[in-house]
Amino acid sequence: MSTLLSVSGIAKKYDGKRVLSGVTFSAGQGEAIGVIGPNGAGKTTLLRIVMGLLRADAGWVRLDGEPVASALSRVRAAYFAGESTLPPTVRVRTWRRLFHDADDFGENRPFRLLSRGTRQLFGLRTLLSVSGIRMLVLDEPWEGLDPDASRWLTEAMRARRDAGVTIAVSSHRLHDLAGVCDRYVFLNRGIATVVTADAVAQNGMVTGDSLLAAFDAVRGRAR
Amino acid sequence: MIRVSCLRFLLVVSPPPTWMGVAFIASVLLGALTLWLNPRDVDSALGSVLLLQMFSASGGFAGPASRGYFDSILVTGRSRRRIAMGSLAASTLPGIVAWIVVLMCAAIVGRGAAAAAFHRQVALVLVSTIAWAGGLALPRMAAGGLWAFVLVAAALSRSGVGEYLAVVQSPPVDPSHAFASAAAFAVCPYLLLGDFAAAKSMVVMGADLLLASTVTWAGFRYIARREYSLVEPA
Repeated sequence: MSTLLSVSGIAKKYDGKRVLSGVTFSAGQGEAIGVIGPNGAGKTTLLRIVMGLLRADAGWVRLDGEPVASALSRVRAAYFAGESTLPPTVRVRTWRRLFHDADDFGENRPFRLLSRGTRQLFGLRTLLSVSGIRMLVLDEPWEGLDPDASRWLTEAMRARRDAGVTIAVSSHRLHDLAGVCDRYVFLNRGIATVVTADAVAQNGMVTGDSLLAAFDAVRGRAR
Repeated sequence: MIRVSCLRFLLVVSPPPTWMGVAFIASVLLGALTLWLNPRDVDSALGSVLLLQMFSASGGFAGPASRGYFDSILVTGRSRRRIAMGSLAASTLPGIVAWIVVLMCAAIVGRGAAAAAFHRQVALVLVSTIAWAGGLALPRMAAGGLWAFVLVAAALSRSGVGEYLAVVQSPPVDPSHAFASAAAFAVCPYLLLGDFAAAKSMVVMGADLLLASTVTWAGFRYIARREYSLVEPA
C-alpha cells in the first residue's frame, strides 16, 4: 500500500497554548485514519493543517510525496468541516452545481431553512458524489445525522475506502469510527498516539467500547 | 473539487446584498436621467456609483472565511492569489458594471470623452481597491462606512477641508505638492470627479495608481498568508 498522506512532527500553538505537539502519522491509499480526542484536543486544527488551511508551527504534511499546498492541485481531495460551514443563503441545488452536474436531490431551499441534520446530510452527499477524489477529510461527519443517514455515511465511507480513497475522519462517535477505520490517532493534550485497529480489537472486533478502552489506556485512565 | 471559477464561487457563496444591486440600478437610472437633463453633469452621474462602490467593494473576506464558507475553494489547490483575484473581482464587479453603463449613457449624450477621462477612471480604481483591501478583515461594508465617516468628519471641519481642496486646485510644482495632491485624492477620490488641476498631472495619477497597486498587493498577501481557522457559530 503506497503512502498518500504523511504527517510528521506537527506542532501548533494558539495564543501561546500548545494544541498539537509532534503529531506524526501516515495513511496509505485505501486506508482510513480515525482521529479521536476530547473537545479542544486539536482534532479540527490537525485536519485543517492536513488540508493546508492552517500552517503548522513545526513539522510538515506531504500528499503523494509533495507539500500539501502544491499537491492539492494534482491530488483531488475533499474536505468537510460540518454543516455550519455551508453558506446559509445558498440553495442546495446551486451549491451542488458548484461541484458537479450530477442530478439534484429534489431539494432546493436555502441551507438556512433546512434542519441541522439535513444540512449535514446534503453537505456530505454533495461531496461524496464528486468523482475522482483520492483523499477524503471529514470533521465530525456523523454529527446531527439520523440513524439512516449515519448508516448511509458509514457505508459510503467504507465503499470509498475499499475503492482506494484515503480517509481521515474525526469523530466523538466511537462506534461509528470503529466500523470504518484501519488506524486511530488518539489526541491527548496535544500528543498523538497512533494505534492500529488490530491493537484496539477485542475478540477480533473493534467496537466503540474497545476504542474507548484503548483511548483510556493511552490517557492512563482506568475505567 | 470545485469546478467553477473562483469568481463564480465567491459570487454564489458571498454575494452582494440584494439591496446593493437595487441601489446600483437606481444610481444608474439616476445617472442616466441626470445626463439626459444636463449632459455636462457627468460627475454627478458618476458620483452616486462611486459612493455605492465604496460600500460594495468592501466585501469582507475574513468573516465568511472564518465560518468555513470558503473551505471548498481553498482546498482545491488553486493558488491563494487566484482566490484573492476572484475576491477582488466579485467585490468590485457590480460597481464596475454600473460605472460602465453610466459611461455608455454619457457617450450617448455626447460626453463620452469627459466621462472616460483618465482621472475619473483612477477615482474608480482607488475606491475599488482601497475599499476592497481595507475591508478584507472587517465585516461587509465596514471599510466603506469607516471611510465615509472620515470624509464626513473632514467635511464638517470646514477650515481643514478648505486647505485640503487648495492642494488639488493648482498643478503640482514640486514633489511634496504632488505627494500632497495624490494623498488628497486617495483620501477623497470624489475630488477626481471634478476638474481640478492636480488631477491632470500624470505624476499625481501615477502616485495614486501606485497606491492602488500597493493596497491590492497587500490584500492579496493577506488572503495568501491568512490562517483559515474556524470560528464556531454563536
